[in-house]
Amino acid sequence: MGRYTGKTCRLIFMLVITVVFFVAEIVAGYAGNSIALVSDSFNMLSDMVSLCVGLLSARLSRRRGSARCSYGLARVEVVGALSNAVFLAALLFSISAEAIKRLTRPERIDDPFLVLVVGSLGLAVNVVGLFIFQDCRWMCGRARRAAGEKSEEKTVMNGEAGPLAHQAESQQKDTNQSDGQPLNIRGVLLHVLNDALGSVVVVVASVLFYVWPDDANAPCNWKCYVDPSLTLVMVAIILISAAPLMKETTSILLQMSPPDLTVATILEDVSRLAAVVSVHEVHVWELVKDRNVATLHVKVNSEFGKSELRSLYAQIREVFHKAGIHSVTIQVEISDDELDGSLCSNPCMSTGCLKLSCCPTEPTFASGNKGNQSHSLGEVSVDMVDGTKNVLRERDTKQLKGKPTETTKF
Amino acid sequence: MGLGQTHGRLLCMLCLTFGFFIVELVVSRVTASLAMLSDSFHMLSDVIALTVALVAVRFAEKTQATSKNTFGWIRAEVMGALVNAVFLTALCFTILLEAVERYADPHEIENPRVVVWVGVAGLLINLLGLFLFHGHAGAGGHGHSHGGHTHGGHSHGGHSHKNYEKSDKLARKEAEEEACNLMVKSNCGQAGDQAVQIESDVILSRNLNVQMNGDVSLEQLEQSSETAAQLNMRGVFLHVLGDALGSVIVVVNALIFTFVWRPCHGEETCTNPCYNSHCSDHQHTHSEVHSLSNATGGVVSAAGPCWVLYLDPTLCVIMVVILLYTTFPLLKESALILLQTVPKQIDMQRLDGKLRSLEGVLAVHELHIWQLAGSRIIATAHVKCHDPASYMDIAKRIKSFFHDEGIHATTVQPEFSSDATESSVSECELPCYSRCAPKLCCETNRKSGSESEALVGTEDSSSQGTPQQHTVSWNIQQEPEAALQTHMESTV
Repeated sequence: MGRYTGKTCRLIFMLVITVVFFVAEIVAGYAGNSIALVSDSFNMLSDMVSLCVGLLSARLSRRRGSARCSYGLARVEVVGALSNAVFLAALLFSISAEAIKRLTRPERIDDPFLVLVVGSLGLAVNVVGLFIFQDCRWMCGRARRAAGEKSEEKTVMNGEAGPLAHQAESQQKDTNQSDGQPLNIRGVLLHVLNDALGSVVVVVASVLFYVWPDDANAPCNWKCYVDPSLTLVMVAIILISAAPLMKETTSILLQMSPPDLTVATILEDVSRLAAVVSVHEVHVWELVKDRNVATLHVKVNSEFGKSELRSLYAQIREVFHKAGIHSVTIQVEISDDELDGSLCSNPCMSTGCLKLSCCPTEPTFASGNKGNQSHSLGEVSVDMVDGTKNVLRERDTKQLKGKPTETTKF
Repeated sequence: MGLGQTHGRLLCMLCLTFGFFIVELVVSRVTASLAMLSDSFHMLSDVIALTVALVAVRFAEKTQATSKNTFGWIRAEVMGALVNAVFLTALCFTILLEAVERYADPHEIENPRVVVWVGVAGLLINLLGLFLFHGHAGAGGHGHSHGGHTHGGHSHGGHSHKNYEKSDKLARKEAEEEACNLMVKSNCGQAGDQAVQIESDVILSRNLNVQMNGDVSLEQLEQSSETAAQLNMRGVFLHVLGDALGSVIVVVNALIFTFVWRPCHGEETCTNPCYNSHCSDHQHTHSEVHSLSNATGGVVSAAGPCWVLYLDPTLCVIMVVILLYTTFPLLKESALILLQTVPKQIDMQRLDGKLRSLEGVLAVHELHIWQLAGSRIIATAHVKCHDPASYMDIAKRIKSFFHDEGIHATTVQPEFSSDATESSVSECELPCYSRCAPKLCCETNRKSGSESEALVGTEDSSSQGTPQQHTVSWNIQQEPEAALQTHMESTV
């Protein structure tokens, strides 16, 4: 079975353990009259919330496409991971607020032994959780490689025999790309890590109070400051660990192009094909990690027959396939006007629609390679095509007048 | 509301809130009041929310496509809205936990008068914020209704007559030129000038109609095109609302405390009967006093009334409920946009059916419609046609169809089937290699194998048929191993 079953099983197991421990801690707290235990049990509650979010997104993300979600719900994992990360950030915020309050008004731990015992149990539970969610990487990698070899059969594209040499290459890519944990699990892992470090702090502080007991009426000494300061250190550690997850999820959700691809190189390869006059309106984005989608408009220069179109499609798809993009939608525009190199021959109804199209200040990754002015695709620079006698273009440049070419570096 | 205005308001509120946060910090230090300190952290959370919204607005200004982001950054505002909504939910969660703790272990307020004054000041600032961002709270709802109306507005242009009249001449000219350009491109090699003239007239009139609709719907869409910014501002508004409610609770609580609570003074023998819950750490004092009162037989004054101590957590719980109730729609809406679901106002099945019924379109597959942000909706589709020669005409028709539906950014891939058999009509002619199946955007019908052909054949008997049949194509047509995999997954 795939790793999907493994994922939900682990989540359910961890959820069960957390619920059990939460109930135990609450009961112990009320029975032993200790507020500290009750408030510590609430940490487990937040853990449960994050596990539920993780579980829900793991279940939902398997749903197929439907009339309400044409891409299916694959992205639920990404949104779930982001929610977990933001939820964690908010918790860290309130924890650090508490810690700062404790620094201004330090309190001692009243019953260090009980706190020590329960803290150690909590730490054990969290270490088990960390272990559960960490283990599978090397095992899963091996299993996937084996499965990949088994299912290697004919590679045919578009009804024609495609090149067979890319088998090994794509297999290589497979193993490279699937090394990271699924985003879902990473979000939950951060919560468990937060809890584990919190338990560590609790254990350390209570050990200090247990080993060097204080008189109940004496003012608070250095030991009282250990807890809040260690807590602040822990908050910093977890924020740093959460940053990569947040960056990755935001880059997927913002429709950014996949980080290991250069769109410009792909465009150059496509525009070098024999039949292509120009390429515009190129969009590449990640649906989820390893599933990339691209759309582009391609201008060809003469009436095409079915077979020529088919082979053109095959060539373009080959370029994208090599780049790791396997879902491509190609809009073909048949144009004889060489001067009109890079503008869309099939735009929406009026120029007013430009504002409502996906990208209102319409830069075109123009690459004229048939004697037109060629524009460097280079870095991020976006060049506007100069106006000619073509009225359509004049209207466009009129709209876009005043927007200077921009190099935006992220 | 212009972008600059939004920017200015956010910046203004950010400075005010941050300044007040500093003030509250100082006051709490001076008066050694813990309640003040916790209220100041509420202000800090407000500052964080405003910063997130501001960053989102700054990002979303760059709408140009770049190499890093081929769509520009316009989605940043939806992200900002989601982050703020989740942040607010998490804060509500922590407030709820604190309130539960307070029930178990109630505290008195120290320095209630100072708390009243600072609380009132905070409330004033939050009311100012509410006023600044108020336009967005209600308008969030309006955004929906506009979005819902765009569809109606397309087919019946009854509104904005003045717009139409003003741009009538311009529209006519534009439509004419556009028609001519497209005609030149698509119909080279066809009949002579006469035919071209007639056809261009026909297309001109059609374009004009479309142009009319375009202008009308454009105005409505412009109003709803701020939906992305509105989402962002709604997030900010909810944060400020939460803070305002918090300040109200602080002020009310402190006022009641000042006037109703009889505290224990130092010189009298006094008990605090409210601290007698089973969770208390003060049990020993209670028993001590009990024995004391038995011994002396005198009157022991008690601090009270106790319900005052439970007022704060109760009000907090009510506030959390209100906030969660108002935040949930924002959370749902921004999550749905980010998940790339089909926008609410578009009925995919109906659209699919109408697209298939266009002249020249044999079949449609891989239809995807999603919302980038606001009213920018994007669609991609694979369309099967007869032959390439007449394709540009069909393409124009398809674009105009999508335009009528409110979708202005489309990529339509034409496919021309090599054989006219029914079974191949709804298969994609151009998939990637078969081993790329797990890396496709979605698992749809694959190349012709015997299994998929059988599936295709049965449900595609009338390719122009009812929409019902074809919507199933998303679910049923799968590569055999993918089907097996999903079956196994679903048993877990």
